[in-house]
Amino acid sequence: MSRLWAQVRELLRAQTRSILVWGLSMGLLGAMYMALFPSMGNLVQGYLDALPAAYLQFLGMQAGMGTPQGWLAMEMFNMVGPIALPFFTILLGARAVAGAEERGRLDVLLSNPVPRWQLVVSHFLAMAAGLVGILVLLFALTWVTAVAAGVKLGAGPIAAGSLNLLPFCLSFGGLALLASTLVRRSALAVAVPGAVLVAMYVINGVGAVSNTLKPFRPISLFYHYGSAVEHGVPWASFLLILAGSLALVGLAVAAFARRDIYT
Amino acid sequence: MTGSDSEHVILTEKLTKTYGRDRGILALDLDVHRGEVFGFLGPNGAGKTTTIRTMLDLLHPTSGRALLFGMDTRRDSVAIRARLGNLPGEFALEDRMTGVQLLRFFGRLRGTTDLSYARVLAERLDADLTRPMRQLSRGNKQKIGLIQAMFHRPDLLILDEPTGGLDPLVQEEFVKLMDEWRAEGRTVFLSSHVLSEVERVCDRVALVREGELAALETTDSLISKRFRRMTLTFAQPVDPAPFAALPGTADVHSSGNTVSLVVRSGLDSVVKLAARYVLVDLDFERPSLEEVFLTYYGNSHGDAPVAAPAGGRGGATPAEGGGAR
Repeated sequence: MSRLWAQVRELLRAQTRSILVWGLSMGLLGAMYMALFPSMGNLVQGYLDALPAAYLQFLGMQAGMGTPQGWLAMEMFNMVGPIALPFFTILLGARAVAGAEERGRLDVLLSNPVPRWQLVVSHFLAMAAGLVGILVLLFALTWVTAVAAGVKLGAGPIAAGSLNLLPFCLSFGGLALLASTLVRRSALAVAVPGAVLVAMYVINGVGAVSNTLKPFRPISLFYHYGSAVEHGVPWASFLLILAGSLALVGLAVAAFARRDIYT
Repeated sequence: MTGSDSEHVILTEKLTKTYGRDRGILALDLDVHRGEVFGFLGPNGAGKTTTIRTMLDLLHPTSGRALLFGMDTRRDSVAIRARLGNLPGEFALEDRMTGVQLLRFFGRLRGTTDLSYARVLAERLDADLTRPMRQLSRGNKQKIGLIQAMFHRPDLLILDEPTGGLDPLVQEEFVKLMDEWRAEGRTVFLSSHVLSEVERVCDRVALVREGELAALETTDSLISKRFRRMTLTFAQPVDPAPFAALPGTADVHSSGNTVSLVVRSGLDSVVKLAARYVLVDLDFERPSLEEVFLTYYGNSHGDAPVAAPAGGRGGATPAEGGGAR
C-alpha cells in the first residue's frame, strides 16, 4: 500500500499547478457569475423570456430561470462545468498510460517493484483527489462571492452543484484511462472520451426538444446528471455514475495487465 | 542475496517473443550465474532490448519462459523487480524532477529512504542530482539512469547500452564499479553492441543475431579469436608474399607502398618481418562486431528472414520456417 500512496503523492505533486489553474479558473468563473447576478438578474430574466421555449429546453432550463440557482445552473453547473471540467480528468487519464508510453517513461517506472494495477489505480486516485481540490476551490470562490455580493443563495445549492460534478468528471476520466490502456496514442485517448462527451451533450439537449431523440436521452450522462443546484444531488444517479467510473477503472486495469508495453 | 537462491539468476527456456514481421527473439536459451558479469552482445536490432524487456515483464513472451531468481517473469514480476535494477536503453525521466526527487520516489517504491550509496555513485560518476532532468544533457541523464538502477544495490543489475553518451573518464569509473559489483557477488547483465565494452567488463558473452543465440563464449575465448586489420606503409614498394606466408595472417593485399593484412596470431613475426624494411606508418584497426560475426559465426542466418514459430503471433509465416532450424 505504501507504494500506491507514494505514486499518488508523486502524481499530485506533478499535478499541483494544473489543479490550481483549473480550480482558480472555475472558481473565478463561478465568482464572476455571482458578482454579476445582482445587476444581471432582471436583465437575464428579460433575455430568457425573449428566447424560444425550445432553446431553453435544449439548455436544460426549467423553472426559476431568473433565480440565483437557475442562473448558476445555466451558466456554470449545466454548461461550463460539465463540458470543460471533464477535460481535466480526460487529459490526466490519457497521459497515464498512452502518454507515458509515448514519452518512454514506463520502462524506468516499471523497473521498480510496482504492480501494473497500481499504476492505473494511482492515476485514478490522484485524478479524483485533484478533482476534489478543484471542486473545493469552485465551491469556495463561488460561495464567498455570493455572500459578498448579497445574492440570496446558501452554501447548500452551490455545494450540491459542485459535488455533483465529481462522479460525472470521474466517469470521463475513467473512460480516458481505459482508452489510454487500449490505444497507443494519447491523442486518441483524449479524442475518444472527448467525442463521447460532446455526443452526450448533444443527445441530451436535442432529446429535450425532439421527440425522435427523446428515447435516447437516458444514454446520455447529462440526462442523469440533472441539475443539482436547483434540485439537489440526484443520489441514485450520483452513485450509479460513480460505480460506472470504478468499473471503467477495473476494465483499464484488466486491459493493461494483458498487454505489452511499447517503447 | 539470500542463501536459498538457485545459482541461476537468469534462466530462459526457449524464450520467444515475436512482433511485427521480423522483429523479436527466437527460442533463446540463456543461463546467467550468480556473481558473473554477463555480456549480451549483438548488432542493433538483434533482439537484445526485446529480451531484457521480456525479462522485466514489459513484454509477454510469445512462447517459452524466463526465470529470474527461479521465479517466473509473468507470475512473480513484482518480486523479481524488487531484486533488480534496470537501466533501459531508451528512457525518459520526469522533466521537472531533480535527481534527488526522482531517487527519493524510487526509494519509496522500494521501501528505502537510504540515498547514501546514490550520493557515492553521483560523486564517482560526476552526476548532478540537484538539477531538473530537462536541464541535463544526454550523458548526464544517462548517469542518473545508471544511479537509479544501482542505488538500492540490487542482486541483479540489468544494463542496456550503459555507456552510451558517457565520456571516457566516466566509462573508466563504470568499469571499476562493475569489478566491485562482481567482487560483492552481484550479477550484472550487460547488453551492448560495442565489442570492446563487453570485453572489458564481462566474464562470459552471449552473441545474438537476428533474434537467435549465435554463440556463447567466455570473454577470454572471444579475445583469443580477436583479429586486427593491419596496414603497413613502407618507404618503397614491398613484396607482400612473405607476409602472406607467415602463419596467422590472411587477406594480404598490397598497393603502392602499403601492405594490408589481417593478423589473427603471430603478431611478433609480422612486426619482425616489417622491420626489415623502412616502415613509415603502421595502422591497426579493430574489427567491428559485424566482422567478428562474419568471420567466426558465419553468415548462415544472414539472408534468412527470422521466422515466427508455429502458433506465434506472426501468423503469416509458414510453420516450417521455425521448424527448419
